[in-house]
Amino acid sequence: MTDVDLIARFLEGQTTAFNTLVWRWQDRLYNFVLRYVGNREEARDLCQQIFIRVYRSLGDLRNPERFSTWIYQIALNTCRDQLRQRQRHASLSLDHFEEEHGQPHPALEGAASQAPPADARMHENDLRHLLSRALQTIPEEQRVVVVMKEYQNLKFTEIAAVLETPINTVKSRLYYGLKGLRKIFDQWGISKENIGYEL
Amino acid sequence: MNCDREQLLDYLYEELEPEAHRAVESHLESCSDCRRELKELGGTTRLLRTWPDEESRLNLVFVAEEAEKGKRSLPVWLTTASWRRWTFGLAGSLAAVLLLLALVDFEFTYDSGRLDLAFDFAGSAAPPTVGDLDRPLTRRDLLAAQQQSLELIQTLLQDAEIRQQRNLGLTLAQFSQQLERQRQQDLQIVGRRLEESDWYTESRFRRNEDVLQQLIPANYRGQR
Repeated sequence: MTDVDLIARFLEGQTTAFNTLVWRWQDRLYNFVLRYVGNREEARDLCQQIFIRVYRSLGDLRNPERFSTWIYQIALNTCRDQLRQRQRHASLSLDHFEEEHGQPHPALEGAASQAPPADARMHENDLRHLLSRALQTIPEEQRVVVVMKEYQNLKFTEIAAVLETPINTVKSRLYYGLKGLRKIFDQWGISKENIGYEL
Repeated sequence: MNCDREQLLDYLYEELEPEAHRAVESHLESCSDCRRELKELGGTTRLLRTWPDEESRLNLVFVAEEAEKGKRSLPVWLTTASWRRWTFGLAGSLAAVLLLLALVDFEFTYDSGRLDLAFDFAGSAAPPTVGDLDRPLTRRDLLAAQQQSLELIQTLLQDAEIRQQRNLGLTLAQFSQQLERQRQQDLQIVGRRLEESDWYTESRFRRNEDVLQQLIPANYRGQR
């Protein structure tokens, strides 16, 4: 049964059809959100919010064939709202730090402070953690494209539809995103020696 | 074909038509810059893909609840709140009924299979009665009725409490099972990581050993 069939059944009043949609999409969306926000708990909360938004507005979806694009747009908007809230909160906290201590928070003193310390780098086994941190370091518009391409396996045309952006812009963001990541990996000393294969 | 970054990305992600794919391959054979670029991009994507997909474990279930006819049903999360709501709702309703009965000075008698009910609105001169009363109701009858009502409420509250305890026990048992499962999984993960770490350390140690062996001249080793 396709997503379109499930949507039709749901709109006829079958809530189980919606649960099937949730079951079908939950891992895909969770992994998208996880790579985008970089935090498991936050990703779970966001997924709940996304599915509630989907539940409430599925009746407004004019063309069910576009469900995939539409649900990614909802996911992205929900994530962006969350990031804005987080940034507002962080900004307040950092301002407060400066008022209290009379000097800027160390996090404001440059991107270098975000890199793992050299010793930790040598012993840090969890590559996932490093990848997550690296993804959080590149600009948001590049991160979205990298995550959609690398982890969601969307085609360039699909990404362009979700972002409502020309394909060449999508490719450009992906290119600079990958370049940025490569630079970060080099700075952090992630090389073939510590992951076991040629980069 | 000239150097084209977009085509290189299409090639990397296999989104080119066969003919265009061959054209890029042919260009790559003669262009070292593009080869280097492709190698770098490919290396970065391979590294990114070492992060596999994870299970969401969201356990979301939407349940239809017809809040109002004609409106779309609203989602209700499956929680333990529903039975608690019912219990308090029932107790609240009973309390309201008793309060109402007290206000209308409700009395009833049961004698030889016949139930007689009586209401006495405050301030009314002639109390309206339901059924025939063989004898006038006394204060003792009223107290007995109140006692029965109180006993009924107590029984209901006790039932609710027992149900609550049973549900709480079930929830705790489920939680405990989940916790145990999580613990087992965590232990497995820790075990795997330790094994990986051991293997990694050992292989590095061996590599270093090999390098040292190569660096130390054979005759020096012989002298030692």
